[in-house]
Amino acid sequence: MTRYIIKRLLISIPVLLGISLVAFFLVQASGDPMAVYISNPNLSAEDIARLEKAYGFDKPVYVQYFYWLRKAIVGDWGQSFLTHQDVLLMIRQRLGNTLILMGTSFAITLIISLALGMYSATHQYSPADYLVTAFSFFGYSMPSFWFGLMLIIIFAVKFREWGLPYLPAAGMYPIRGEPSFFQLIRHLILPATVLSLISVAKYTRYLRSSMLEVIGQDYIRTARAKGLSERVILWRHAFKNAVIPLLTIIMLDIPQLFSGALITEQVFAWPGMGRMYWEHAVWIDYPVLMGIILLVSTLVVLCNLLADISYAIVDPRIRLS
Amino acid sequence: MTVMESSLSTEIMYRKPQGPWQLAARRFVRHRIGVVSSLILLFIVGLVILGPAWFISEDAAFRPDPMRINSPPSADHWLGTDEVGRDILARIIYGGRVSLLVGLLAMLVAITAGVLLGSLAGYFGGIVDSLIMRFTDVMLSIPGIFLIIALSVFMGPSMRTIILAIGFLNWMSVARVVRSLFLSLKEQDFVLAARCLGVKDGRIMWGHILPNAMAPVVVAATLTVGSAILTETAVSYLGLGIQPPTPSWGNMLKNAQDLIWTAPWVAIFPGAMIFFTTLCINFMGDALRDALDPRMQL
Amino acid sequence: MTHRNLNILLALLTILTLILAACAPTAAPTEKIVTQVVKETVKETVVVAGTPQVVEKVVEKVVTPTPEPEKPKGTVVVGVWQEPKGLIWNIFYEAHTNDILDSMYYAPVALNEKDELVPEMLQEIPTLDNGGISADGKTITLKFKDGLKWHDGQPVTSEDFKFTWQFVVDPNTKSQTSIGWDRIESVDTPDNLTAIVHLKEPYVPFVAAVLSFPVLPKHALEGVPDPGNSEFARKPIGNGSFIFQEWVPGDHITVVANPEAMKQPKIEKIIFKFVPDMNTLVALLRTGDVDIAYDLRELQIAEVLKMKDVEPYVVPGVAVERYYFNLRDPNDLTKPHPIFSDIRVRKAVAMGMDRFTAVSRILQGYGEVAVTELDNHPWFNEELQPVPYDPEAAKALLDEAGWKDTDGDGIRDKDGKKLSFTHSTTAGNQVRENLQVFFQQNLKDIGVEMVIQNYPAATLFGGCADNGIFGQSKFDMIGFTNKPASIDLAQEWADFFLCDAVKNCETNPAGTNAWGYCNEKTDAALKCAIGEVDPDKRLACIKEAQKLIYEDYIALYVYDRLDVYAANKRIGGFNPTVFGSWTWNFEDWYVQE
Repeated sequence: MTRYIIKRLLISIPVLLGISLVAFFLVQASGDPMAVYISNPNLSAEDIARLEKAYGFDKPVYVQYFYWLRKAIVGDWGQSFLTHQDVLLMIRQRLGNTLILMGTSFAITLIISLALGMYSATHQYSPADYLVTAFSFFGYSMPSFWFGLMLIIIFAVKFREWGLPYLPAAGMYPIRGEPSFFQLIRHLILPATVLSLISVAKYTRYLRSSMLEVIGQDYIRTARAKGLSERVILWRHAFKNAVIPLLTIIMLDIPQLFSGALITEQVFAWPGMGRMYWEHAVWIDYPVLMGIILLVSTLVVLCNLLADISYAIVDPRIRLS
Repeated sequence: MTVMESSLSTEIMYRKPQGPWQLAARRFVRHRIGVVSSLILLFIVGLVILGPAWFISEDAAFRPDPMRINSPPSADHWLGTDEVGRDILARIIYGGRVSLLVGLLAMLVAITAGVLLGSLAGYFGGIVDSLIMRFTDVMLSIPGIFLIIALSVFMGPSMRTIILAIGFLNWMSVARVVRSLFLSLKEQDFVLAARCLGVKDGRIMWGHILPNAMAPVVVAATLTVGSAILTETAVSYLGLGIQPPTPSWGNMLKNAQDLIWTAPWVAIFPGAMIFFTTLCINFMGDALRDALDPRMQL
Repeated sequence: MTHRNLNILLALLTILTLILAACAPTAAPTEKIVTQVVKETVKETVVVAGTPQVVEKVVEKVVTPTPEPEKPKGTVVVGVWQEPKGLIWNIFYEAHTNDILDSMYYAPVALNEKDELVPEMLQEIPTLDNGGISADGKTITLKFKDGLKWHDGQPVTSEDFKFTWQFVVDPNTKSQTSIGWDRIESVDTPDNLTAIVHLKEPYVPFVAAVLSFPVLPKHALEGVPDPGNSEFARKPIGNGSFIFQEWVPGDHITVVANPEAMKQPKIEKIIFKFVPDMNTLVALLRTGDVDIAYDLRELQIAEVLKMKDVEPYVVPGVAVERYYFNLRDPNDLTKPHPIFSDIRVRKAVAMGMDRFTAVSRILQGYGEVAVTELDNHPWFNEELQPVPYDPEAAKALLDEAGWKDTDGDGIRDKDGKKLSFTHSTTAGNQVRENLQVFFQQNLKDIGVEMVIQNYPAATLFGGCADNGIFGQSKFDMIGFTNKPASIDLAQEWADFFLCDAVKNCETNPAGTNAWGYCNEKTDAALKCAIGEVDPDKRLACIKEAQKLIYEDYIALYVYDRLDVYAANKRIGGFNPTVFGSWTWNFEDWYVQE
């Protein structure tokens, strides 16, 4: 087991290096981080030459990469060109907010897709099955910024005007009030809904088909033959085996959730990391972009590692292959 | 095909033996929403391809008419006009050409890359496999929109950029599936036989193994078209989508946002087109998956 | 899972949603006006039967105590779509950052409601007449008001002014701007309230431009390494009407009334709330969560007009949308531009764009057809008229210049080259895109092909390294808006046209004249606009320069943008001006319930 974990850990290192390489060259090739200064007519030629030198843009790209890498490894992720702050500090200020949003939508996604997937699998090809499918695909097919704006119009603006209980349109806490946990939950509802509906369809469908597959297996037939109640068969035997492979899929989906968070945070003015990425991408503030990409990717790699290891614990066959 | 476990198999055992594709077709037809979706999709595609020849003029879609901006739906303009006075119906049809084309071409890029890399990795194994799979892991770990933004800023926003960027970010799951199929198929007798006869690697890979691995690729291809259309919309929201004056559903929807209160029809129709088209594509993909390979993880 | 379980789950979810939704934010406790009913005896003169008599009478009187000065009350929420990167004006030099800083800082000079220059920290505006400016224009004497204090209680002195200059020009500060400040040779501080500025050469914009920026506290910033990354950059110490309270990254900045301010604010608190999506901002305006929004887009005005609690404010702007013609070949900057080096073509293209209809219809009247860069400025040269829309004249000019459609494809050509050029601006800006599409059609009608080729801001304004479009002059026609930082915009304006500002990646990478315009006469007029001390002569030079630039058709000024603001009707005293923008009178804002 230890050998397996070490092997998996070692594999992660080139992956992380690869991520940093891909990200660095893409981001670096994107344009001129000095643009933010040059578009400013109040800067003189000397100003710009001085700034360029101060940031090391006069060196070739690969030199800049190793320069960046050497520092990144020891935990110095550099300073933002725009805010002059340490990238790690900036990420720390936003990461929690993004994780709150993502965590909540993740929980919502999971609850809805488990419920719908199980229902769908046990009622295959029934009208209700179609309805569930239709519902789960609804959110998946909707452009998220448009969906977000619609929700704001209906639940934050119209409901308020009609005197109905309404939801806040933007931010994490009320603009004028005191922050509280309860307010946080209210502010979470709309963005988390938008974000979670993206993945509901996928998980519902996946759970449905893996349930169908498991139900067809011999041990379920045996259980049925033993006269176990349908409920016990479904939940104790089939469900457990159907959900485990779902976890792998979910882990692979974390980057997609971040992608969704970028748009959602923008629409709902959520003070998260995705929005920060976009605000700094426009000006190619690459220490920040690199920091975010690297952090997110590391999270993904770690999650995958955890999933693989727990999988290996459950199913020893994997370790051997 | 390894789909014999499901309840259908018992039924089929008593019938005449059928080829896997016929079997798949029968399964597909059972998925009623899938069939209806495919028909709607066919209608949309037909409208988009034939519309311009049939009843929509290029002028209506492209020529600004400052005297008729933001006019609501009427007999002259069934779906109203947009913020520079172009006919929305005409733009939806021309925009549909662009959006669907982006979806299809991005899908082709993704599938080509995925099949190529996946089959190389699966067939040759060893160091080739490790390298390709590590690269796949790298690409899977970076959130797609982060890379699309970087690519669009790098290459300048254009249709070509979007197609390449979306294609470039969607090949990984295909590669993985193709690789695992190749891993198992390459040990099968017909491959060994071909190898003994001295058939070249390329021919074995794409002539013999690939046809047997097509089912998941077809499903993945379908679903990729849908997600590419949505990605184009998201990229448009950030202002990096298809550039004017070319319409696409994504940039029409983005531009309509400011008018959502005062001229909602400008937003509703392109939004609805994106929604219904993606919905139909997804249903069709779902039906295909049920028909071809219910265990597929896409 | 059975039907019932699913139903219960759904029901639970619904209930949860409703419960959460029902908990609407509790109304902020409205400050009660303390009223008392006082019985008092008054002597009254009544006329009884023809004779005035004094009688005593008990009356009930409602007394509302109005302490003088009134305690600031109420909170105003301003929706801001861009978050500041930091709160030191010269390091994080952006218009929207300066707007927020204006609430926390006084400057030596400021603008009043008529956009006239008035002293703020100074006792008086230095002029030639009062001796504040020496006859040669090189020495300027500043007299600061007594009693000004930083928010930490320290007095504001002339040393702070001297420090600000040193701070701005110090390369280690990583200042984003040093415009004007770099003209200072030295600063003497004979006493705490006097600063004597010695300029290297006469620089007339000094008073209105340089002195309109905040002075920074020496005691808090001196010797701070990397000030942009210091605590001060996130928690500034100001000297203005409001004191910095908190900055929640990505969410808001809060400032509170300064009880010791020179100008007493009437409101207690301003919250600058960051909302990146303009449509979400409009929704917040409508629900009353946000009181004030600015930088609204033209297309959103119609929506604001429909809100019954919100008042739109539309002010002529100083930002002018303009298109520049590149005079150099973008593929080889040593050669003239194959199309635009001919003034007749530039003139024809300018006359072929129907800006009048664009403004009245596409912009729905929210804007004005522009003439020069100084349209809404007192310096405007009234002789000049907007370039007319005259497609016939344009066609004639193109014919004359030798561009004719010889191959019948609808596009003119000459020597086998098509009359086709690219037009670039920032991608994703809808108003600009709409105008591009409209002008594209106008030009097509006179046989000119305009290809739209937009780029994201970082690429468009990118510098010499990494293929910047502006930086490498790789455009045929480029469109953007420049909003001058102060009312004396002579320097910024001149930098677009001066010969020694011509951009060249080898010799002058920071030049802002990316179109390669150089005309001796214009150059002389612009230099006089910057250095001429005599106000009348200077004005004449400015008008002359405007005329020369206009007649050379270097830039087509498309339209004068309007500044669109919206404020909830409960906010009083909100009074945006042309140059003072919405930030010149934070102290006057009040909240009426």
